[in-house]
Amino acid sequence: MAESTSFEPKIVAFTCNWCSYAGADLAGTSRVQYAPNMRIIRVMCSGRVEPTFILEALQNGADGVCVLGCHFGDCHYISGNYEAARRMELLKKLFKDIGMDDRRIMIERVSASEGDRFGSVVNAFTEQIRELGPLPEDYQESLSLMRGALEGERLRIVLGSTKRAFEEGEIEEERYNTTMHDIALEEIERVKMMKALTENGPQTVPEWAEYVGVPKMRIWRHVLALTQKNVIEVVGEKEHYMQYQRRGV
Amino acid sequence: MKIGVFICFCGNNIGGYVNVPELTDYFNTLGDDVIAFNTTFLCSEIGQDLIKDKIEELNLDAVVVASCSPKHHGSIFQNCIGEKINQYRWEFANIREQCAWTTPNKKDATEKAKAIIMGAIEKAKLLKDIGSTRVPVTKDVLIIGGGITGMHASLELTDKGFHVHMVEKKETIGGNMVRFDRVFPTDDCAMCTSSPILADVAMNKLIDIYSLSEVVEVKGRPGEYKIKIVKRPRYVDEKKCTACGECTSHCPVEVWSEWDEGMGLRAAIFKPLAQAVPLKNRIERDSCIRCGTCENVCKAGAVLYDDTEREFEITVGAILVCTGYELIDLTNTEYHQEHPNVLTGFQLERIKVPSGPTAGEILRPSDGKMPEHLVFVQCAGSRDRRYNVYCSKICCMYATKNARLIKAENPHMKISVCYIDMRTAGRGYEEFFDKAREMGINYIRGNVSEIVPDGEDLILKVEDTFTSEPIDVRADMVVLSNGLIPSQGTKDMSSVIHIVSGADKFLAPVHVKIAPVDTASKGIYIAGTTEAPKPIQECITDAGLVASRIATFLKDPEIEIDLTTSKINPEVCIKCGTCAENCVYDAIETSGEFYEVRDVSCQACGKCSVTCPTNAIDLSLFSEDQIIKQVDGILHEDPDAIIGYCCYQCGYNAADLAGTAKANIDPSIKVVLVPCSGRVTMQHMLYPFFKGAKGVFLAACLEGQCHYIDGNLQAKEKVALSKKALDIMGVGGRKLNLFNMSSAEGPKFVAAAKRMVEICQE
Repeated sequence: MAESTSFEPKIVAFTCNWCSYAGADLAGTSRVQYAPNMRIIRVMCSGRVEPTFILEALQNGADGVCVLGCHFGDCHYISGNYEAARRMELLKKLFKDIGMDDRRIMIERVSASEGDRFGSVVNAFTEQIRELGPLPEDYQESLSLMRGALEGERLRIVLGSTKRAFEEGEIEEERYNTTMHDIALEEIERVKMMKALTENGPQTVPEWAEYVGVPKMRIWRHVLALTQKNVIEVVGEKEHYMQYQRRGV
Repeated sequence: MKIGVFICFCGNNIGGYVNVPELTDYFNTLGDDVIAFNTTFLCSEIGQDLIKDKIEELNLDAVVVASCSPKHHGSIFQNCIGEKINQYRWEFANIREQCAWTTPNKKDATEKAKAIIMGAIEKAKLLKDIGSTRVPVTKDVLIIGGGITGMHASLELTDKGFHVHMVEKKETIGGNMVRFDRVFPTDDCAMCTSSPILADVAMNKLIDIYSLSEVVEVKGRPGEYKIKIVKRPRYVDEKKCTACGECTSHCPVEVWSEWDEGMGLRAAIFKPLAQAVPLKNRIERDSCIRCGTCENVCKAGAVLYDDTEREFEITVGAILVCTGYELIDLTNTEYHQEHPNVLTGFQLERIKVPSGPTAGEILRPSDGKMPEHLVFVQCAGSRDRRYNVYCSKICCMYATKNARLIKAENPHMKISVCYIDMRTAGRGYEEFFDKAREMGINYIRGNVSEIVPDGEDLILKVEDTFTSEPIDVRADMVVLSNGLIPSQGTKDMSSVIHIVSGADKFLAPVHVKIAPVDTASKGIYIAGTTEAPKPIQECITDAGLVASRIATFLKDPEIEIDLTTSKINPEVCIKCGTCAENCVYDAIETSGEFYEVRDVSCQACGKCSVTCPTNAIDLSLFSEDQIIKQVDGILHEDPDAIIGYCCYQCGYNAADLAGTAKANIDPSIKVVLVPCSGRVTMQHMLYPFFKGAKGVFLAACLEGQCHYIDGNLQAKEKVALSKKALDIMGVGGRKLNLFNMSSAEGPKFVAAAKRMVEICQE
């Protein structure tokens, strides 16, 4: 493991203005010593951090990303840290689903008065990433699929509506989270289907199933949905299957 | 009291089995007050004239008609007699269905007829004049079910000037037809044929449509029914929504669409079809995740998350039930409907529709493959004792229609149809089927015993009945021609409105042949597939007929109601209120000081008189004494008889059906008609035994199906009590029994009669 000892991870931290960023400042004024691998990006609230920010960092050279916000109940904007936690939970689930190590991303709570804690959180996370090693090259494809899904309207609507949906008590949190997770997986698969169209031209259900790596019946459901949404259309036939392409291509 | 007895030969129908001249002679020997006549056909003009002439000539006080079942020509005789004396001064003796046709031995049949007629004579001696009263009618009509039958009937009725309230359970009217691709035998596009009707109904100012609504209670009387309706929340303001579809396009939810039978997807906010009536979106709350997107994007502000269920009442003069059918579910059976590539007929329709999820392409649900061998499986759940005994009538044609259409568009696809018999009776149907064979559709005469899934494909186990060899047919997609069963709505209405249903659970008309849309309740009608499986053209015929029947019923400002109702004798009444408590029609009014029957509400079931401790309340027709006298008459001729009290709605019909089927019934069985099994008092149950009768039984409606709601349950209690009394008396309670049967279950009546004879011989 000689290589891992010489490896210095690059880490991006999104810290909220009111707690964690101030916590980082306090760590400095208190001369707390911690690992130098982390680059801080200040945001007004951890709730501002979109999942795509995290992916952007990983796509551009970060080996790990963490989000640091206020403790629960202390959010300057009332519930932003809950939102952030929920998104991180989904993102971690998706990392696992897609075969990536979810320990590369993390959310933690550090208050303005916890300078020491800031140092220890940073050290612990840096150590963790150091052990995991550099971000594997093959993560890039998964990251871009995930990013495609997270940038789509469908997932953005669900992600952006959590507050209204269950903080107002209209639906059980567990059911919402399950639905959100299902939708995210569907969207990731659909992005992959679109990628197949770009790379290999018109696709049939069995071709897609092989490319995406899911059962044909699941692809068929995607085909029905994408046809209904006018995303794809039939362009031909091949061995008893319809061939589909992006609409208008 | 002078009574004329008119005995009918009915050609050979009675004359061939019963010695009519002997009967006539016999009843002429009884004394001056009974005079008997016979003729070939009493229902003919000659026969009717004979009755009328003799009433006048001999000053008859009452008439006994010994002929067919009163269900058959009863109204003819009633009207004929009504021309001369009060129309209720006649009694029938059913010596055809319940005697001639069930008794092969002519001597036995003649003796049985003698007893039946004697019972009728004794009852006739107590007949009185019964008057009538006029009550106002409401000109509004309630139509339950907005399918093709209901829509067509509603337009017919509004054309005649009536106001229609249409209650529809789903979010849109249109029923099943608007979900089909094309319809046989013309291959017309279903939507093209029905959308003008939908539009007409939608635009019609005389039709109020209540979507997502259900009838939960019906009270009142013919001409003035009070209807309670529950409207489920749509969560969209019907006044504001323009159905623009903005909400649907942003809704993140995707679930399998019920409208598309799980063949396509829908959002949580949607309209089922582009031509929906009312043309409004709806939120289906079980799939909705409350993200609020629809509310945010709706420019009309129509989304109503806190919409609630609403209950309201309307008053109508007549009710039409046309709640239709659904397909039998064959999931987890040898048909394996749960396999993705085993489709129901409905599912195929949805993928065949050009506006459907696959834009009309036949692609199988497991992987979207175009099938190479598509097999239709006929009689799936029909003509099969494990499911439905009956033939669903439309499947041969609908499968052939789909096979033809698919073959025309996909000439290379192999299409087979496995069938028992092809039933193509109807104009142009056989030609339609011939064409299908010419097109190269492969008809295999053989019933499918099992469908064995083999991965995504299927292997059908078929017996080729031409060669008597079992064969395996390999298919990559199977379409079941699922049999038709009454819809949930039809089953619900059977209990909400108390319409009797047959053994097949479809609602039963008064008479399948001659009154196919009338029910036993005046002012309540059925039509379309609520009554039986039938093709669309027959539904349209039904709709026209039923509209005419309703218009006839409601044409005058008032209707006449005969006062065959209960009467209270104030001298004997102890004002205990038991009758009022027991009356399910609230027909007994009280001020505490007196009790009085409200004639317009009374349905003349007679349950009140059974509960009265002092016999103060009694029916005008089917009175306590009339029934006792009828039993007396029967037992006078045949002291060993078994008396069977049969209710008008079910038991009596079943007995008639047994006769029509020429079933063999022991001649000791003598039927006494009662309006409801709940009308039979304990005295009626016990009295025959004192006179020597061998046994007594009641033939009542099925439990939960009593036309008078709970009469058969009351009868059950009384029978249990009387059985104990008979045990104590040493007669034996086993000789008294209650049998439940529907009006269509002739064989059940035969079995009941047989059982009684066995018990009495022990």
